[in-house]
Amino acid sequence: MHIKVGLVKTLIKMALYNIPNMTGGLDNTIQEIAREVPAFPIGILLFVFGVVFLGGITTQKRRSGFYDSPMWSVIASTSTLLVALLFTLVSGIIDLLTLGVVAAVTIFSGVWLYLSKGRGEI
Amino acid sequence: MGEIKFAIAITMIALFSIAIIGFAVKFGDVNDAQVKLGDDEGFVDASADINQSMKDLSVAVNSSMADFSSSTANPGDDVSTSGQQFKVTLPSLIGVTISTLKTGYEKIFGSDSEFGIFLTALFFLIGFLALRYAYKSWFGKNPD
Repeated sequence: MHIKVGLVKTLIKMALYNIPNMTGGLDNTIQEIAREVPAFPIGILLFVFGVVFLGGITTQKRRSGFYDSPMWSVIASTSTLLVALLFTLVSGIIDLLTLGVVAAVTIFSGVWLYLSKGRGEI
Repeated sequence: MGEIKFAIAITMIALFSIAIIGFAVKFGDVNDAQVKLGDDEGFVDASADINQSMKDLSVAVNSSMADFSSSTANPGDDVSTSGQQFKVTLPSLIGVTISTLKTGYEKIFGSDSEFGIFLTALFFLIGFLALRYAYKSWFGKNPD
């Protein structure tokens, strides 16, 4: 942002959000970021799901020649649910709706796994 | 996927749902979480419905097995005339899946979502599969 003060043109670098206080612990840091950017915790949950799901099927495909999407979906959604449950311990990170959606996705993944015609694993 | 595997799959879905919801609710209670899944009436009611459905199914299956144990087959009998054993298991299990999926669906898409046809179609598909499996197990062939 450029602000003209008299004849002096001053360049002020501003962050997109207020920088959190990093000395208050990790939970406090996440809490403050979530207050400034409400989509941040949801982004973390999507990141966890994506890393586990895509990483899992990619690795399984490379090692064994096939991948079991429903199984990795259950593993990824369960991992996401665990992270979401940890977020519920402190107020202001995620709300009940987000937690409910994560739980619903986990259950849907289970339905997908048990109704899928796999290779006889389950 | 045959009838037995299908019934096992539906039962496992019910148990998985109960485990996930139960764990999340207890996690909030034990750790005194600020956001508790137990405050969501939809999940709590769904878990109670599934529990009750599984109890009802257990009683019905026990009763059906007692009838089956005491039944006799005469020479020349091909199939049972009532098909009672198939009316107990598969249709009863469908109710478990419906209550589970409906709750989760409403959390994601909302209760008045335009994607409601998705859930309707899924229920129809599961019911259709159950009836096909029951008929095939009963008569030993696919429906005409």
